Amino acid sequence: MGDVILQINDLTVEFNMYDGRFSRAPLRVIDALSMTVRAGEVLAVAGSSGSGKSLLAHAILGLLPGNASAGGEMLFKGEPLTPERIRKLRGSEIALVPQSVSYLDPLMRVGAQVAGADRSGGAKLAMKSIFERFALSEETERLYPFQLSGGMARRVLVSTAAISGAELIIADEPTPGMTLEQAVEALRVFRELADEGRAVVLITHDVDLACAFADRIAVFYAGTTVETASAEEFRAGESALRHPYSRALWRALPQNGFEPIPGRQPYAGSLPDGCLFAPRCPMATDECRSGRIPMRELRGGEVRCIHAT
Amino acid sequence: MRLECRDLSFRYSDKQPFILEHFSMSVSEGERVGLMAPSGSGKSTLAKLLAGILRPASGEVLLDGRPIQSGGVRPVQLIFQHPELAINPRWRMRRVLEEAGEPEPELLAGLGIEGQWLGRYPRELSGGELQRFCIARALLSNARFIIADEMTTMFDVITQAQIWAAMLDAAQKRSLGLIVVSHNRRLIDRLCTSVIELKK
Repeated sequence: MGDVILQINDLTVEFNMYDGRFSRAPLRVIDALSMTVRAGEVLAVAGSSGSGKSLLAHAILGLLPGNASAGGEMLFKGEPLTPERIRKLRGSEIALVPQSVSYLDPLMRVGAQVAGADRSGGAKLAMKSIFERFALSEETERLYPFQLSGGMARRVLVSTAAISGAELIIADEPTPGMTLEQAVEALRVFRELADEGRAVVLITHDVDLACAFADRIAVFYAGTTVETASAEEFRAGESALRHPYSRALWRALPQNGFEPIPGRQPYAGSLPDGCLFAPRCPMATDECRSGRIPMRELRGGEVRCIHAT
Repeated sequence: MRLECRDLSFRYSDKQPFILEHFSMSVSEGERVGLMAPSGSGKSTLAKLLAGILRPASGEVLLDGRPIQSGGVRPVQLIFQHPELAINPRWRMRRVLEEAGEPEPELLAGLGIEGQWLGRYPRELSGGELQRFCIARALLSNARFIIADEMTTMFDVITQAQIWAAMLDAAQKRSLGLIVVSHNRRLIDRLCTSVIELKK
């Protein structure tokens, strides 16, 4: 296994929200989150929409909004990611593929944004070859972002990170709007970057793609991870998985039953006392409802459930 | 009831190439037609033409043999990929629904819409919750056909399965015709009675 590139210990993210007119209350949106990403691997962060997956990306990159604060510990290559350090690493050693197409500079031609400030020609060559892979024509370089379709803009964003040379790439929902072929091509690029020794965190709600290209999958629910499993286990099916929520995700896939579980993810600010999934869990008992459930190791993965075997 | 288009062609301006040329298809009530195509091949444009929001350069869209109306509440309703862009951000959810008709508690319950959500603003609900309102609004307008343009692309698979379970149930009760636009082959295979593949 490769060196640990990113280590997150007990991360919390809180928003300072106005509560009525005069008082303010913290709203915790990520809680007790730990994960490790090694060189050479693609770690997919999958799970429900609105579970805080994008906030995780923004916390790592130091891009949280002004009224948010992060707690816990984040280490990049063994050293703490302080605000000063992340400013230096961002864009050179740590690259983000942002979720929204609006992260492109609207007043700058696409080619200039992708190739960056590098005028030596190396970046331009790299850009040309990656554009070719993504079926972006040469004219694309001269276009402004508003002239791109949604799918094209995504491919441009992926290109930017791919040629950045960063050791850690965090891709936040890089594939919506792409056709299956384009999405597969984009993930193949991430896979290759990992195989070259980079570490890739792939945030996605597309379980199929995560299974096909990631090494491990961290399942996110209501602001924390409930399970870390290998992609192989996800491909093998329900019985190889550990957490009841991961199993419910698997069963809801169109090819595996398309079976929804009732209810919804709890809102930050009105989380249940015990296990976050207990209100929707068929296995829940009284023990599940008192106190937070810690993450534990099980069958080579991790799970946050006292009943998992 | 039958929604069809005959020999439809469309381009956004005289200087641009045709996005659709001589395209024909039809959907009957109770049918669920999947529409698959590469991005940029005119799926969303076709959806807007079928709903009567865009006018074709040539060809026609017919509902039961008659040209589709271009004003008033449309009998062909569209549901988009991003519900937050399809709802007035300054209206509470109750008003969003009332624009289409009196919200029936039974309909809302079937879609998993909680009563207290009606008093909220769109920004106070998640995308999956808002999408349920978009479906409710389309159903309240007494639409005969619904076009779901990447309706659940932005959601996790459990939310996707929940939304589609509610949609299929409503479509069956009202014998609606559905057009499902999606990139997801497995989703289309699961949902649809037939599939059309557009070529670029």
